[in-house]
Amino acid sequence: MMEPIVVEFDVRASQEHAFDVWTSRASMWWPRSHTITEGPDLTVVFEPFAGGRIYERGSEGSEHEWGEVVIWEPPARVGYLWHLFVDRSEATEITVTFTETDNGSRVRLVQTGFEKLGAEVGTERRRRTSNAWLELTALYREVI
Amino acid sequence: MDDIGNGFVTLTATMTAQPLESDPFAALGDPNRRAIVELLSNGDRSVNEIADDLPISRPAVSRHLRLLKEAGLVIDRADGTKRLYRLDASGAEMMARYMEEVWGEVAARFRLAAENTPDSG
Repeated sequence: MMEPIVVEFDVRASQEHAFDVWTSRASMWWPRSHTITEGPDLTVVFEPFAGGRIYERGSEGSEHEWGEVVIWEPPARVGYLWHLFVDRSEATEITVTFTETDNGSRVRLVQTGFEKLGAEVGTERRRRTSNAWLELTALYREVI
Repeated sequence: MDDIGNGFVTLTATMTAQPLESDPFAALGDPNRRAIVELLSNGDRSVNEIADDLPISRPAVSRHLRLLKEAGLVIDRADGTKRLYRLDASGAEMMARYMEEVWGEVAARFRLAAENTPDSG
């Protein structure tokens, strides 16, 4: 069993603004190295409701699914399934909470479900684990 | 907490990974080592079998394998007179490690954006 990844940090922005920038303005700041098309004009879309799609639209108009919104509670919480670069069946779960602080807000991100990557036994596990490796090395090539 | 100065209050990633002698990301920073990892993702191989598929010598493959082993990415076992190598850390663990790196960059870029745009609240 793998423990979740937890990332927590403060930001000098209101809770509402932090939520808004995280979701509807992700195109502004999401690292291009961690996208499918890597184009300068790509758009990241969070459809603002539970069940909404999260996807990248390349400058040439192609769409690439990244995940699905499962919790939409502005401005406090957004939760989503995340399968950028992996098969949808291997989506991890991400929950981001935004709380007010004295001079801004605190962002806390929790990502769980890594054990789904390669959880099956036998041949299937082997295949999936191999895929995850290939994806990882491909990703790595892109970020360096 | 008022750690607004440098921002990061905590950045914790508590994986069940054992301590490694060298950084797996550094180990993957070499194209030949990534090629070896990709070959091994298809099944166990000996040094000679790896060398047959890559444009590098057998001693060079051995050196890369030693580094990958120190980074916890491959393990080896004896098979008759041969020594076979296979991937050690699971793809899941590697993906988790990769995501830790990504979230660090994401957090920094997000803060810049949120703190330098008019408040939409």
